[in-house]
Formats: sequence, structure tokens, C-alpha cells
Amino acid sequence: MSQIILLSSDNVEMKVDKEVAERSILIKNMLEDVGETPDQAIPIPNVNEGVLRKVIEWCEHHRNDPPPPADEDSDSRKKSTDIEEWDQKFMQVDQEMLFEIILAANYLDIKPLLDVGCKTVANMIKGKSPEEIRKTFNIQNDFTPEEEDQIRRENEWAEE
Amino acid sequence: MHIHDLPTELHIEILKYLRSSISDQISISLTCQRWSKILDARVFKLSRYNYLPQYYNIGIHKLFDIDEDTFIPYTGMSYDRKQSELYYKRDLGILGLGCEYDRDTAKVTNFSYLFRHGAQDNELEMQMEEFFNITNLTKVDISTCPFLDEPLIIHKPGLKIMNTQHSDRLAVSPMEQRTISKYRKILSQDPDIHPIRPMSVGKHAQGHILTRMLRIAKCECDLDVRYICSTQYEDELGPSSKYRCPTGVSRCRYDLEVFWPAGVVRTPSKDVTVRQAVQAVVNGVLSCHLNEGVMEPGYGYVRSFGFASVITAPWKIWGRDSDDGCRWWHLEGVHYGPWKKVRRIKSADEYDNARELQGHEGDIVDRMETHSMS
Repeated sequence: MSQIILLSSDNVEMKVDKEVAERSILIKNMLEDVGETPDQAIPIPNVNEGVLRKVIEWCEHHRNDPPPPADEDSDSRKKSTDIEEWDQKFMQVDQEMLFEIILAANYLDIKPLLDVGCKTVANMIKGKSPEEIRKTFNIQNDFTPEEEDQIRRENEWAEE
Repeated sequence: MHIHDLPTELHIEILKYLRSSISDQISISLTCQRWSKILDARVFKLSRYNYLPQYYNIGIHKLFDIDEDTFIPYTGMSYDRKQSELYYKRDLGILGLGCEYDRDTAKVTNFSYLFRHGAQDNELEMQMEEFFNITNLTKVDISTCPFLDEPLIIHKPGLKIMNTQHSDRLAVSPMEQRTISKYRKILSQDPDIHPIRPMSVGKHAQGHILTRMLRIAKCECDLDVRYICSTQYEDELGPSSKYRCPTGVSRCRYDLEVFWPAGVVRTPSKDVTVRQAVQAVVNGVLSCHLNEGVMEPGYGYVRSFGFASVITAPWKIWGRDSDDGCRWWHLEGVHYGPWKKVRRIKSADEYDNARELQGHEGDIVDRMETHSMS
């Protein structure tokens, strides 16, 4: 089985089965454009070693998955937040890594991995109050009291 | 790396997974401005409405709809298992929207929403939670939630509203007296549940209903919002063919109407928002309290909220695997109807006596014709 070399943004080379790397549509298209298995490392400038290893781990586990339908309506993928057990465990990482994986999946065009990442974040939001969500993701409440008051005033519409 | 370091397109991808839940959308919109703006996009806006499956040009805002995943807490009822099955609340939901108003000005000052903590994915856990009254609700102030200023009802252009007047004739049948008696016994233990009365829903339906008064958000505004569950669609009640709804789906018929007892204060516009709708209800309730003498004593008054008079259609099919029922919404157009004097309020005994004399079920005591306002 042919292998290719991926080069992370921090200049670490990783040897990967071509079949595994081709879970990334970006890499697949690149390889198709080149026409043959390249000898040189393929640079992945936006993804560092740690994240790239995680992405490759995911691709190896899912190497035999059927490719997602090309014309799949994005809405149909948004109906459920169910995640397979293996993927759930795979996504048990700190938030920084989780977001990096999502970014990498988006950049490398690996839709199923992007879906898993987004679902994981969605599940972290699900069922929480605004305050709990802010706490979970360390989000600042940028609705100032003045703004909130203004919204309230604007909505004092009770006139006939 | 922080979540806000993700590009907006990825935020949209994440939040799309939460579109189906109005509670989640409310939370998201109140978390930060960035998410609030994202949820202002059309794809999210349209997801905040429930649509008629067959007549899907009309949608009603989910804020003003029943949250099926939140259960009405028990109110100290105790009954044996058999009876509890008869009055099993699994299929009931709760209207999460509530408000507080200033008693002097009658203006709504705060809007709130009941959030259910720790959404249970497990059906058994949900049932246990419900059965043992472990409903855990938290009231959150949503006064600044932009969804309140969205239209209560939207129309998708280009599709016709179909007249389904014949449908509810098929759908509604009177309950048998022994069933009513059984229910009355159970319900007499629950002060929040009204006695069973003859049903008077528009001019096409006749039967009996079980009404449950929902006091929105513990009732700061004392709204009379009744969640009406047609008991003939619940389990173990009579031959199913008799109680089949026109779609062929049996059981689990729900009606939601907003009742308040009297008093038209204002004529709302057709483009009434959720916020305005709540205020209108408050106005109606206050007007009733302030003008009790105007109304004929002993009669109930009803105003269909936001609906005209012609359509009664299956609202949606239930999503749960174990349930095959459908909910009915008395959707009667996009207008406010006038007040209808619907029934003379009888005591349970009086009703029984009357029934014995008449010897048949389901008489409507009194009713005024509906004249919809556009």
C-alpha cells in the first residue's frame, strides 16, 4: 500500500497510508492533481503536529467508512447530535484541541470529522442556560446592562 | 484557543445542530451578541416555528407552543397505578413562556422561560422523572431575547390554506358517562384541573374535553392558559376506531388554545409578535378582572388566540418512537377571533343531573357565532 508524507505546520513529517490521507478531500484533490504519489512531503500549513496526529488517528479508524454522499444536504446532517461511541471518546479532549480539530477538519475538508466536532460542541451547549454556556466556554457576556435596558425600553410597546 | 476564535461559518455549523430546540435557541441568543446575530439568520428564524405538516404554509412560533419535552409537575396527586395510567401525563407538555406585569400600568415588564435541567435522553428516566414529580424547571429571564419580537404566526407565501372543516367532525366523539365519572373522580384530587365539561370547539366539534389550567411561569400574570387534552385519544379509552383522527393516527390528540375569560381590550394587528401576544393576553385577563360586571356571570368566555375560524388541522406528528399520535392545533387562520361565549359553567353535579335528564352526551350549552376579524 502506497504511503505519503504529510508535513505539519511545525515541520514534523508524518508517514500516512494514502488511503487514510484521502479521507481529506483537500489532500485527495491535491494527489489527483499531481497524478502520482509524490516523493516529497505535502505541507499542511494550518495544522500543527498534535492536531494532525489526532486527525490522522480519526482517519485511520474511519478509513473504511463509505464516503459521505457528495450532494448530501447539509440540513439532513444537522438533525441529530448523536455521536458514535468511538468518536465520543476520541473527542474527549480539552476545548483547545477540540476547536483545533474542528478547524483542521474544515481546512482539510473532512466533513464527517467536522460533523463530529461540531456535534460535540453542540452537545456541550445543549440544555444549558446562557450563564452555564458562558461558563462552559468562558464567554464574556457582551450584552451590557445599558443595552439590555435599551432593548427593554424599545419593547415597551404596550401603547394601543 | 477560544471558541470565538473559530470562524463564523463554523459557529453556524455548530449552532445548526441545536435548531430544533427553542430552549437551546433562547439560551444561545442570550449568551453573546455574536451568537444572537447568527440566530437572526433566516435559516434559524424559520426553525423557530412549528408548521402544519399538511398545510405547512402556516407556522406558529415555538415560544408560544407547548414544549413537549417538559412535563407538568404533579401537584400532589396520589392515585394508584391503574388510575395513573388513565391520567398519564407523559404526552403533556408545558408552555414555557411566562411573564410578569406591573399591576399599575398593566404593562408586561419581564418575560421568562422555563428551562428543563438535564435533558433526559433516556425514555425510562423521563417517565420516572415525570411519574415521581422530579421535574426540575428553572425560570430564566428572557426579556431581551429577540425572538419575542418575531411574528407569532408566519405564512409561507405561495401555498393555499386548505379548508378542513369536515375533519374535526370525524375527530371528536363524546365520551361515555362512565369514563367521565372515572375521570372526575381522579381529577377531583387535583385542584388545578377543571371538571370535565361539554366541549365546544368551534361549530364543528362536539365532545368532552379535559382541561388543565397552566399557570404560565407560576403565574405572575395569572393567565388562564389551558392546555386541552382530548381524553378520548388517551390510552385505554374506548374503541380506537371511534377516536381516530382523520390522518388515521389514533391516540394522543392535543388541543392548545389560549383561553381567558373575558374582555376585549384591543385589536391586535395581524403581524402581532410573541411579545405583543403575551401583552394582549395580560390585557385580556386584567380587563376581565377589572370588568367582571360586564360579563354575564356563570358563562365562560373564550377567545381563540391568533386564529380565525375555518381550519382545524393536524398540527404535527409526534416525534417519539413510542408514540404514534398527532397533536391538533386549532389553527384558525392568522387573525384574532372575537370573544365567544362558549358555555354556561355548570358544577359537576349540575352537569350530571342535566345529562341524566337529556340522556345523551355532549350537549353544548350555549355558544355564540364566531366572527373573525382580519
